[in-house]
Amino acid sequence: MTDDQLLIKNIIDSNSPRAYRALVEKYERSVFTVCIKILRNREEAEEVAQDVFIKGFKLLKTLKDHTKFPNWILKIAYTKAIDRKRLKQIKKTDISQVNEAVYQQLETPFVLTSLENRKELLTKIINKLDTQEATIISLYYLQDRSVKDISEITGMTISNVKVKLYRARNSLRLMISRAFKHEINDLL
Amino acid sequence: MKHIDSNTLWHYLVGDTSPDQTLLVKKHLANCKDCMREFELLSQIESTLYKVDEDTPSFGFSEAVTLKVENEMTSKRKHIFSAKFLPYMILCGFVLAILSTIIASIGLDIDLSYAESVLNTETALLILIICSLLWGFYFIDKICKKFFNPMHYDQSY
Repeated sequence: MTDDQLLIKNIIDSNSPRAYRALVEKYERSVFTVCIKILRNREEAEEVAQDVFIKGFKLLKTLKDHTKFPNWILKIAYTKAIDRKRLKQIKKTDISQVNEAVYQQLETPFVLTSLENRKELLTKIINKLDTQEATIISLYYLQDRSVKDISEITGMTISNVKVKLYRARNSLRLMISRAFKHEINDLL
Repeated sequence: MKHIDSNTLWHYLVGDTSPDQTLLVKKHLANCKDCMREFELLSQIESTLYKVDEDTPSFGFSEAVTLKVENEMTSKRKHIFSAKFLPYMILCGFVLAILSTIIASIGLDIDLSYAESVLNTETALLILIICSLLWGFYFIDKICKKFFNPMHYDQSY
């Protein structure tokens, strides 16, 4: 039995929110990341993430395969955040509208900058991607989910996830070339 | 020399190319500095992406969730004793009182005159009137809240 399975069994048996807290602490970052990538607003993302965990507690008994909890809770998060986004009609950010001041015109080539700087820059660039691309990139790289997992979470087909993943990578590449003067790529 | 496009390089990098394509890209990269530079950049992006941190919610997030779940559970328990259920509880109490009197009278072999006296038309009517009034108050209260205080219902959103 995995840690998650034991935790979930304990929560269902005791019906205790205190027991559920351990599970919340384990997955709060993953759920919050999905919410913030879609909603682009911290307060709203936290509110939705809280609702996700509350719904998760209520529906935990209906989850048959406890090993599927991460995908299951992320699917709830994805659906809830998309619903909230539809309600709020958040404007989509276009690559062409990216605020150049966010990452300025950097002098040092990307490959030569420090890891911390590269991480910081990529975080900013991911947040400037289309919400769906940002979510897929976050799930794939930041949360180490497979293409199949992402397909389960988002409800897209596996081939659609793959296409979107490549598109997102290319968008990232394009944005980096804009950020770094010396990396003008003739190939693009 | 024709360069390899970024998309193919990405495919090659993540191991999503056919054996023939892989061989072609490998050969090309060995002879083309520009493509090699691009490939190194893509590799760097790919490896950095795995190290980018997830977003973190505010401190106390899990505690807030726990409290909200606890509050919901408590309000659910309170709801059972709310005005909506009061008429049902009165009716149940009435039926239980009669049933227990009948059972006791059978078991203890005593006469049913007490049960009969409780179960007369006037008492039944009185119980019905009380229940109808309680239901009436409950629904009037709900309608008033909905039309005169809409925020009350928007809090969950």
